[in-house]
Amino acid sequence: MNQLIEKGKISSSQFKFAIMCFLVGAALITGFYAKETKQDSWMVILSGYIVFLIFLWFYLLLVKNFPGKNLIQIHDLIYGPFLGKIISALYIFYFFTVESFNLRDLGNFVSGSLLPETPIVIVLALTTIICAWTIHKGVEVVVRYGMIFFCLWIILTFMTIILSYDNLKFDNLLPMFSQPLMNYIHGTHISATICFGEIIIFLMIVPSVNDQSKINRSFFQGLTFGMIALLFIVIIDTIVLGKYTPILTLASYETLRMIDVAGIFSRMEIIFVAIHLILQFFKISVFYYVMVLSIAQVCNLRSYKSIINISGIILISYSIVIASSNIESAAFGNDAATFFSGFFELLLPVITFLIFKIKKKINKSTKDNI
Amino acid sequence: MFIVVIIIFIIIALFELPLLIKEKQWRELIVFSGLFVFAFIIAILQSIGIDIPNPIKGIISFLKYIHLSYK
Repeated sequence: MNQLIEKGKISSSQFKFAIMCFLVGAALITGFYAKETKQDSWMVILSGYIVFLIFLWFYLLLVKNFPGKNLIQIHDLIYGPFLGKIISALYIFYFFTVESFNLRDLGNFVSGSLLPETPIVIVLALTTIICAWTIHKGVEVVVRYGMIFFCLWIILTFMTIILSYDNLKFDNLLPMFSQPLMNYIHGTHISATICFGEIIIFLMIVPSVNDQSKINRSFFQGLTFGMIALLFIVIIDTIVLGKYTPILTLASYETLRMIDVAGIFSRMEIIFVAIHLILQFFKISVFYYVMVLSIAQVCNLRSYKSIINISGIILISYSIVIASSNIESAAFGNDAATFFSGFFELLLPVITFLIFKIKKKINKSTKDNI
Repeated sequence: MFIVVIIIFIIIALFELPLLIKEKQWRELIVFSGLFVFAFIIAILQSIGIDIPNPIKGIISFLKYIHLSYK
């Protein structure tokens, strides 16, 4: 059977902070569901979290039944070498697509806020070079800074709350439950697949964690704290911006722009841009690492180092092709991406686990008959 | 733009190939070459201004076709 390629080890707390940091990176795309549920967006995050917990249970069952194996190896064991390779190839396509969208979001964010005149390909290329450099150093370096980045983000959030004290209007949260039911279902679907569901990629990193008994707790705590962090962002944005939240693509950015304390503390948004660039960089490097690792695993290579640079080039090309504008990528994220990602994040792991159970049962009954 | 792309690809090839050949990693060499050719074709087409078909459009119309859409 395939050997594990990654030799590096990470601790379970690093793993936990990596998940948190990864989830907070989704703060850039709160606009996707704010369109649907307006002032009730915070409920959507809670309900998406609860729905996703069910699927997380299936992930953890897979991890428990195949200790020390990553997602690609699990597919090989359950579906057999041929079908397993096809499903793994589909997953690689999914990793590629989601990562390209994240890279594109970062590019749009930078060219919308900092560098409006620069061609987007320059921003994408610079980000990819830094990420490729990180991945050359191995998994330890990729996840090591998760904790620091998350702490930076906590400082930013508390600063936002304190400094935007004048702008807080709690009436903006009212009226509750005023949208049609379908909007809540749609919003829950978006938050479960696009915000939380992406942590399926950590199933590729699980074998590198040195204390395997704490995996369940790391997953759960990482997900919960990440959810609370997202909840904070959405609630603050809603309270400050009110009815303008749905029409803005970068609500948190506008929240910080509103800050003006006695004419001294103003134009704070540059700090937001810096910290969110760091978070998004973290998210992209984790995705990039997982993508390169899965290609190497499927092709049964001895090391993934040789294909890092060349897949970076494909990544840049793909993220230019993938959407012609900011609006197009937001439209995909709002509608089709929920089904596309949902297939890989929610449906396939459950099917994989059920097939595993059925196979186990059949094997057991044939053994009993003999 | 065209020349920049070719220079970048030459740099990557010079950077990776000697190492792979020296360590006799033939399987890695095959995968690398496959990805290299794929990336090279796409990047060259993009740099001379030809539109590459977008797979996302295909996914969206497929999902519409099987009625999986909120709109």
